[in-house]
Order: sequence, then structure tokens, then C-alpha cells
Amino acid sequence: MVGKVLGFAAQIAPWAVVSGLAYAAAFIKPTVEPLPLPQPLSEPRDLFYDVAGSPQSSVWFAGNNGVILERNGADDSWVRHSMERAINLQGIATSDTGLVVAVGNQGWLFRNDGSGWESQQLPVSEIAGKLIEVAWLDGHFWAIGEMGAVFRGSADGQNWTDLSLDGDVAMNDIARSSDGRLWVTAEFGTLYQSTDNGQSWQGEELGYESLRSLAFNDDQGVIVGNGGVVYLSMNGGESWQRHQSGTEEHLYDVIYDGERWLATGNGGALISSDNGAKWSDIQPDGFASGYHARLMATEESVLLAGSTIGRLSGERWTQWPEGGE
Amino acid sequence: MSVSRFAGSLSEFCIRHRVPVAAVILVSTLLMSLTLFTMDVRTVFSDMVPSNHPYVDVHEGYKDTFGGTNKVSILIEANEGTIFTAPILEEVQRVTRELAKVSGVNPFQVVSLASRKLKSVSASSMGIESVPLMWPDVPESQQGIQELEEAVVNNPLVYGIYVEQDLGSTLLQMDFYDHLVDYSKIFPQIQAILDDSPIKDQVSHHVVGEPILYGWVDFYLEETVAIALLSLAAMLLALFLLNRTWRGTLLPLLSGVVSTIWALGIGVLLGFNFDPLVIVVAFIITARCFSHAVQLITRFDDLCDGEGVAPRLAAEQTMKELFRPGLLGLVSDAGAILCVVLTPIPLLQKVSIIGAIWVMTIGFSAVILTPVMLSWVKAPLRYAHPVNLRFLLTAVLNVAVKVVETRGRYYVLPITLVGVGLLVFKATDLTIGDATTGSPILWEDSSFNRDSALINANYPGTEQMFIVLEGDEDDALKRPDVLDWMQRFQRRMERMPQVGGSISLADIVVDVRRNLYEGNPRYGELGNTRIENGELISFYMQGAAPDDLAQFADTLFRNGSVILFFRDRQGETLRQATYQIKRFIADNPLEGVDVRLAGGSLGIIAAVNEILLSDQIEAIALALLVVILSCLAVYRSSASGIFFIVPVLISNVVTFAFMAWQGIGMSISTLPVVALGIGLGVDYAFYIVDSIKEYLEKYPDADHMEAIRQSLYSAGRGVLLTSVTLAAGVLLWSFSSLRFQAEMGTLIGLWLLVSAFTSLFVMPSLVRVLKPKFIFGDSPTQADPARNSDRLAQSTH
Repeated sequence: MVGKVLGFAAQIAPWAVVSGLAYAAAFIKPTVEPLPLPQPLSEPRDLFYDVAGSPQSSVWFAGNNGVILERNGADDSWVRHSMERAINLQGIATSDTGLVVAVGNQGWLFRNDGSGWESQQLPVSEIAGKLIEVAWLDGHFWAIGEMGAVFRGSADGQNWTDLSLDGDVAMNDIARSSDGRLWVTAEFGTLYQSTDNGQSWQGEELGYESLRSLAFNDDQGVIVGNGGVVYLSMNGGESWQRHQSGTEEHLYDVIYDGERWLATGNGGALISSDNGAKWSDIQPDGFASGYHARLMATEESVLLAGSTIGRLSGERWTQWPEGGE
Repeated sequence: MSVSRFAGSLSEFCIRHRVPVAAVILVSTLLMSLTLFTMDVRTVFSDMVPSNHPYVDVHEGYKDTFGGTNKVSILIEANEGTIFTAPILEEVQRVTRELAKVSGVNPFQVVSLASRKLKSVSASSMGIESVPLMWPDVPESQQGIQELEEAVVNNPLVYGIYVEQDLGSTLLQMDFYDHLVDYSKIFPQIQAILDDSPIKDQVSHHVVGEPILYGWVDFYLEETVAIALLSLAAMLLALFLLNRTWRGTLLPLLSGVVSTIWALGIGVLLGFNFDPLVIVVAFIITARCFSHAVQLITRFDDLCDGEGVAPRLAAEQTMKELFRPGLLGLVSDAGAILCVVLTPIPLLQKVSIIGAIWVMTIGFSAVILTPVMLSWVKAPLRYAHPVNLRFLLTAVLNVAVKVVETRGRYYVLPITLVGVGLLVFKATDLTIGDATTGSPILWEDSSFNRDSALINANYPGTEQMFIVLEGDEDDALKRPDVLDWMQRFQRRMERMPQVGGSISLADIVVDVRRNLYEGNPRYGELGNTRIENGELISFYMQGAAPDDLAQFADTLFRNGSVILFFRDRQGETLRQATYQIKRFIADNPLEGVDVRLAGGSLGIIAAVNEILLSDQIEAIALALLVVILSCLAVYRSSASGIFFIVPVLISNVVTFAFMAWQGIGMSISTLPVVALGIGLGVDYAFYIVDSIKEYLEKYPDADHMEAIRQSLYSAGRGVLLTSVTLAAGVLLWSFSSLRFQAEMGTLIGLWLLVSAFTSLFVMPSLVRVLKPKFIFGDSPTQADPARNSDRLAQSTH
């Protein structure tokens, strides 16, 4: 009996093997066990346009595609925030209480008081509604942008007053001088000032190159703009004189970090000046050749946001987040 | 008519008419050899492109515009500092101009800093202008060079893609018309251009791409042929030492030469080209030829030397006795090889057809010609040299006999099962597709793979795949949602570590818009409407050549591409990538646009990988079916099939496990070798088992063990002799400059040894333990020990 069973098994075994393989050939296909797609802190296509610091030692970088990177200085940890709308975020600011406000295209504004992000849309022009910058100045948020957009926000970022100019002009940066006047740099060489906290604006032309940023240190003020233009005022903005920056790259931001003036822009441009009149190149090792749109002075260093983000200590550049601190 | 009776008639006829038979074979060989002068030895990429696969359809439809499979990338790297010096920029210009003259090049697809393709789209408050970065001339002043550097750095379509981030090198790319590609011309021409560099002390050149890879294969053709000849010489030397006769050395060579000439000649007549990479396949089949000839010679020697039969009669008897296993082996081999023809890849189909023809020619060159030539041996007992190394073979055979004789035979099956089980477990790690980051055809430290690693480390990647967006109306690509889809897709795919970057029409639109807004990066965005995007594209096209956007969109902007750059082409990378692409397409449907994958060299490889596994299983299944049907026809028993499947399965499993262990992927290059290897496993078993059956047919009252013993000492000696000899020969392949050849040589050697040892140590034990009816019949008998010992003495002499 056993012999018969074994004999029968031997007769059908070859056919079973072939049938099994035929089945495998017909139905087994190369499968992939999908690996989770890694979410790097910073993606290759991330670009950043602004940086702001909060009293809680956090630093916030705002960029394209609705991305905000938060760095907690206490433990050097990073968090990537993605807004519900993947719009490009152009500006970011923090209040004295740590409220974070980011603004971007189509008048979108995102607010985070620590409990999560809330969004709201400011009434901007339908033709060109990019909010380019937001700043925290003397107890108020100020958001500016295309088509003369100027908005003043309450300290909680909830209520916004429209103080926009009537005109097709992009407002690039806003600052307050020591005498309390508000200043806005705009495209095509226009500089606006307001002596009544934004209720009315007076413009003047400083050449034809668009003005990107301005900053004050006591009575000294510096404006930078396209084509490497630099204007210096020694009298709180009453008059401006053009100076050679040594570069023809567009300059997008200028600050006084407590010791020196620093300006940055396209093509890895990074220049410094002790007096605002005579500028020289800084070429830190590893500093990217792309653009940088914003500078922010901290107690020990200067943070930069642009095609790369990082920290400049003296002339030493540390790129974030790779390599960390 | 039974096989045995046919064998008897045929052998009698061939020996009786040995002169005309030999003359016909040799003269036809001579005539066939004349065709070899027109043999075309080269790699044709289209041979590797599978038919009827959706990826291939996409590739074939768009390869002329969105990117072919034959791109070459050349890196010019400054030895010190940056490339922005007059001599290096002039070198870039010189190489660019010379590349346009290379055979088969598509001159519109030569892209470099010095070509008109790379443009500087600059803008200021005064307006926008689009001009070639460094065409037609290199800047003459230092200021001009400085301006060029700034233009490069500010151009995201150039900086990081064609110029390294630290400005230390620049990339030149070229593509070819597929139908004009001749790797044997492209490689030396490009090498000559680079060798002519007047500033070799200032720059280094690095070059990669499919034409360069196969150019290297072609470059090493002479070495490959030399190794093949050395292997052949080594095998002949081994045969000479072990056989101790000229006939034992020269007749296998004669059989191999005749078969090779016939097979290659028929290939030429069929209009086939010969890929240098599959020269190892020729080697395997020649090994089969040697194996059959050695079996015949060994049996002839046994008859003349052991049983005192006259040479002419011994030759006839040898042919008659070994015709059945020889025919069985050849039919099984040819059938197994022919199964590969079902794989829809031209290269494999050509290999399959030629391989099957080649194997069948062995029927004439070895099974008939060898006994005919043996019939002229005058002094069969005269040795050509005094060194007797047979004791080595006998020692191994003694162990094989011992295993069958003792209770050890009962352990063979379980040990084999456990061993095979473990190896199956390891074999599941086998990678479908390439398993290494560089090209598996060349060694990791080869200049090609080093250049490839260098370029992949500093640039988005040398390997390309494109997906196609087919719109249902003209200007569909200008739709904001379509361009936004491209950007989101690119962003997602670039999260894969193996994807170094991507490029599409959307990137151009974004960059033009940024420039239109005074170069302000805050305006690096898509236009809000189809009209705005159309205007942005028009800005880019101002002063551009009509085909400047050809790799991103057709002229009507109905169909476009997204090109992905990969850092490697490993099977797993491609599977993960195609999974992510399909998932994104499914999760993000695009109304009015059909998104199809995938073209480019990686699209083709992904297609090949997708069909390799099922086709390989299919080939194995069909090959086993051929073996079973052959057994059924010859032995009238399907159960005999299971016996001969055993060595095939064991050798396949061992080989796959070895490939997994060594990181050798199952690719289009390895598949022919693996497919042909299926046949290798079964031949030896046929000779061993058939010898037992033949002995029992001749001596029906013989003891089972006696039949097995004589089989091992006779057919087993031939098996051992052949496998050791061939394995010794293929060892020389490990010195090849081509990693693929070296690995395949090792693989074949392993396959031969595993097959031989399975036939010598596993099959006899199975025969004795299981006592299959197709060998022993219904009632096996016991024999007179005294008579048995006499016969045994003869067979072990």
C-alpha cells in the first residue's frame, strides 16, 4: 500500500513541481515593500525668506510651500511646520510674548500663540496680493506687501487695520527710526515715511533701483537695494547719500548687529561696514553662493535666511540644519 | 523504433561510413567558417529593450525629445580653485565643440556652459533679457569671467546642475540618435577628445554614460578573448594531464571548435550581432560540448582498456551506449535554452535561439564526430605522458561509492533537504535588478564607477528617468494646476535619498518669473493663470532655438515631461521610485491630463526588472517541463522526471543563494547565464543514472550496488573529469577586468561543481534508497557475487 502511494506520488511529483512553478510564473510579480518616504527637516526645494526670534529662545524660519522651521535654542531641536495652505511665506515676526505671525501670498497670514496655527486672509488686491514682510514694532505687528499694502495688527495678531497706500507699488521692508517715524522701502527706488504711525505716507525717489531693506542705529540709517545700491543717512533719514557697496548683486536686507552693519543678497553677497559708508566683502568658508533674503541679529551672532539658513559668528558660518551647531 | 535500436543503427552506419561522415561534417564546418569573417561583435542597446511593456511604449514615444538611453556626462574638474579661469572655460568650449562631431551624436542635445542651451535669464529694473551663458565665445576679460560666474550662481537651472556648488567642476551632457549609436566608435572618439586636452595639468576629466560603459566592454574585448583562449588552454592542459592521451585532449577541442563555428555561422546567417557580454554563454555551451566528448572518450577508454575491445568496435559501442543519455541531455539543454525565447527581450531571444542551435550542433560535433574519430585510434593503450593523476579522481569516486555502499546513503536525502532549505532561505535575498550602486559590469574601483560616484556625489545624478504628462488639449502644460502638479511631484520624489534632483517646465516658468521681478527670489513662483504662464514661457523663448524646450514639452505644450535624476540604478531604488510615482499619480489625479511612466534609461531598466522575475520562473518551469517530457519519452516514466529535476533544483538554488550572498543582482546581463545554467544541472545526472540502467540492461542479474559502482567509476569519472577541468578553466575568468565576466565565470564554475557533486554524491544514494522502477524494473534481482566482482574489476581498472 505504502509502495503504491509512493509510486503514485513519484508519478505526479514532477507535474506538481512544474505546475507550481507555472503558477508562480503567472501570478508572482516583483513586489515592493514601500519604505516610508523620509521627511527631511529641510527638503532640497525649500527656500527661506525671513527669520524671527522669540523671547523663549526659539527661532523661526519662514519659506516657500507653507514651510516654517522652528529651532529651539534650549536643546537645539528642530520642528518642521507645514501650513494648511502650501503658499509661499514671505515674512515672519514674533511679539514680545512669543506670538508668531507669518505672512505670505494672497494675503494669507498664519498665527501661532503656542497652541497651534490659525490662518486668516487679509483684504489684499486680487491682482497682486503678496504680503512681503511682517514686523513687530512697538507693540504692533506691521504687514506690508504688493499694491501698497500696509496693515497694522494688534498685539494678539487678531485685528488688523488697513493703512494701505493707493498705488501699484510693492512695499519691501518696514522700520522705525529713533524719532518714531515709520519708514518703508519700496520698488523702483521709492522710500516712504510716515510721521503719524502709518495714517499717511510721504514718498521720495532714491534713484531707480528697487529698495529692499532699511535699518536704523540711532540717527544712522542704511538702505540697500537692487544692483548693490547702498544709501546712508547720518541724520535719522532726513537725507540720504549713495555709497559704493563693492557689489552689483541685489542686496535684500541690512541690519546693525551692535558692532557693524551687515547686508546680504543674491549670489552669496555678504558685506559689512563699520560706519555704513565703506563696505567690504565677507567670505566665510562654506557660505552658499545662492541668495539670502533676511538677517537677524541675536546676542552672539547673526542668523540668515535664504537659499540656505544658518548662523554667522564673526566671520564663521554654520549652516543649519545640517551639521547643526 | 526505440531509442536504443535507433542508436544501434545510427552508430553502425556512422562507423561503417566513417570517412564520408567525417568529411561531410568537417567540410561543412570549413564552409561555415567563411561566414565568420562578417561576424558583428558589438552591444546594441535596443537588444536590451523589452517589447510590450508600458514603460517601453512611453520611452519609444518620447525618447527623441525627452531623453534617450544613451546620454553621456563629462565632468571637467579644476585641479585647484574654480573652473572660472580662461584656460578651463576654453577647455569646456573645446570639448563642447568636439563633442558635436562624435559619431551618432544629436548635436541639439549637447549641453554645457559653452552651448547655446544654457542661458542667463537676467533682469533688472530696466527689463529682462535671455542670452546664452557662454556662447559663442568665452569671456575675454577677467571682468567678463566674473560676470559669467555671477550669472551661473544666480541661475538655479545651471548652478548645482551643470556647475558644481563650489564651482570646482562643470558637467557637459550629450545625447545620441539611438539608431546611430555605435559604442565601439563613441568611446574611443570621446576618449580621444579628452586625451587631446591642452591643459591636462589644470583639469581632470571624468566620463560616464551607457555608451561609455559599453565602450569599456568593447575596450576589453581583446582581453576577454585572451582570457577565453587561456581558459580553453587551461582546460585542455587539465584534460591532457588527467586523460593522458592526445585523443582525450584534442577530440573535445575539435568538437568544441566545430560546434562553435556552426553556431556562430548560423547566427551570422540569421543576421544576429554578438554582444561581448554574452561571451560567457558561449563558454557554457562549449563546456557542454566538452562534457559530452569527454564522456564518450571515457567510455571508449573503458571499453578498449578495461574490456579489451578493438577501437573501431569500441567506438561504435560507445556511440550506441551513450547515444540515449547524450541525446537526452542535448534535447533537455536545447529545450531549456529555447524556453528563454519567451522572454520579450531581443538580446535574450537571440541568445536563446543561438544557444539552442549551438547545443543541437553538439549532436553532430560530439555525439557523432567524436566516436567516428575515435574509430581511427590505432594504439588505444598508449599514453602521451608518464604522469598518472587518475588516483585523484579515483579517490573522489571512492568516497562517492562509499557513501552509497554504507548507511551514509540514508543521510544524504535529509542532509540535502536541510541544506537546500537553508539555501532557499538565502536565495530569497536575491535582488531583482542591479544590486550595487555603480555598474555591476565593471569593478567598483574601475575608473567608470569612480567617475560615476564622483558625479553622483556632486551633481543630482547621472541616471535619468522621465514621466510624461499627456494633455487632452494644446497648451495644457501651461495650466497652473498642471505646473503646480509637476512641482509637488518633484518635491515629493526628491525626498527619496536616491533621487538627486528633478527638472521640468515648471522650474523654467518659476525661474523666468523670478527674473521678471528683478531677480527677486520671493517671486520664484508659477504664474496665476495659463496666459501668464504662457507669457513667461514666451519670455524664455525670446532668442532661443526652437528645440530649447524640447526635453520638457512638445511644441504645442500638450505633452511634457518631468525628468528625475537618480544617484544609482539598483533594483530596489527603481521599485521604490516607481511605487512612489504611481502612488502620487493615484493620490493626485489631474483632470484632462494622463500621466504615464516611465522613459529614459532607468525607465527601460525598470521595465526589464519588472518582467525578469516572472520570466525567470517561467523559464525554469518550462525547462523542467522539457526535462520531464524528455524523460517520459525516453524512459516511459514521468517518475523519472522527479529524479532529474533534483540536480536542476539544487544547482539553481545554490547559484541563486551564491548570487544573493555575493550581491549579484538578477539583471538582463545575468539572466542568459542563469537560464543556460538550468541545462547544466541535468546532463551529468543523465550520464550517471543512464549508465546504471544501461548496465542493468546489459547484465539483468547484476546487483544494484554493482551497477551503481560501475556507473560511478565509468560515467562518474567522466563527470568528475569534465567538471574539474571546466571549473579550472573558468577560474581564469576571475582575472577579467570586467566584473561581470569574473562573476559569471565564478557562477559557472560553481554551477558545474554543484551539478557534478550532486550527480556523484546525491543521485546514486537516491537511486539505491528509492529504487525507482524506470531503472530497476519491477523485480530487482541479486546477482552472483563472484561474477559481479569480475565485472567490477574491469570497470575500475
